Amino acid sequence: MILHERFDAEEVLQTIEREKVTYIGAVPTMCERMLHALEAKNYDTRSLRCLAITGGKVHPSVLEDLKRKITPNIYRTYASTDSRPDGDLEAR
Amino acid sequence: MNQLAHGLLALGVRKGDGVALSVGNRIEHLEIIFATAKIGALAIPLDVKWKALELASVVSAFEPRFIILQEDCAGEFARAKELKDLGFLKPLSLSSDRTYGGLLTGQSSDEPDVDVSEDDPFAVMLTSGTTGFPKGCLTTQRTFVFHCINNAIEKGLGAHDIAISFIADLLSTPGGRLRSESFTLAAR
Repeated sequence: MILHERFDAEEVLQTIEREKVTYIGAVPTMCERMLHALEAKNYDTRSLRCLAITGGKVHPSVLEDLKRKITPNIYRTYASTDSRPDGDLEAR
Repeated sequence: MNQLAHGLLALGVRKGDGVALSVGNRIEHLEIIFATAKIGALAIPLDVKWKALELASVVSAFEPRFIILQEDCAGEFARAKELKDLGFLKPLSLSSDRTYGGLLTGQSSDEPDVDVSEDDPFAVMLTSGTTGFPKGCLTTQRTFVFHCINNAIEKGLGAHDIAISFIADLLSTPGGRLRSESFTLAAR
């Protein structure tokens, strides 16, 4: 388990590539920042087996971009205050 | 972790005591969480970005007997003590040499002899999601174990995984913790 004291999208992407990270958990804002960082530079994120997203809703277009540019292996979880009728735990 | 558990016992931490921690996303955070779990103490993780008023309010609401502080939280804690009477709290500062200010010196690495059962409290997690008011959720040892099992099964997490974490979240530790004998933490 690799610990970063704060979230920095570029640093996280570099680490995923360098350490062949397989699991990452993030909130939607972090996901959007990683997508933004990927516009400037490409990183190899194919090692990821699981991108777990929680803490808020993910816009469908962001979800599509994440699947295409970071990993298709996305798990979304909704806690009680985030829950909506279509809140789900999505299989990869 | 066992040495830390024994060190906490030597300091006077007993089963059921609250141990607050203002410790960021660093290795010590998880060491403390697991050490308190081994002796049945209640971990209360706090946000290291909190200012004195937030710190004073939350700490006085839960009245833990101990607080473990990383270096840069000492100033806000000193100010928090001016705002509220936090005399019930015994502070412990993290030292840069990772020995918890000598707490580990001479401590045994054997399992601590404390009887902890699955219904015993494990931690108070301050949670608000992104939309609600903060609330302190009391979790038991069993809750945490089942949380681990759920993650290990649903996400297939295990010893083969390399996880990255920027919020000291117990959530991303589970698979590896459950399914491997060793567990490596690194700041890279």
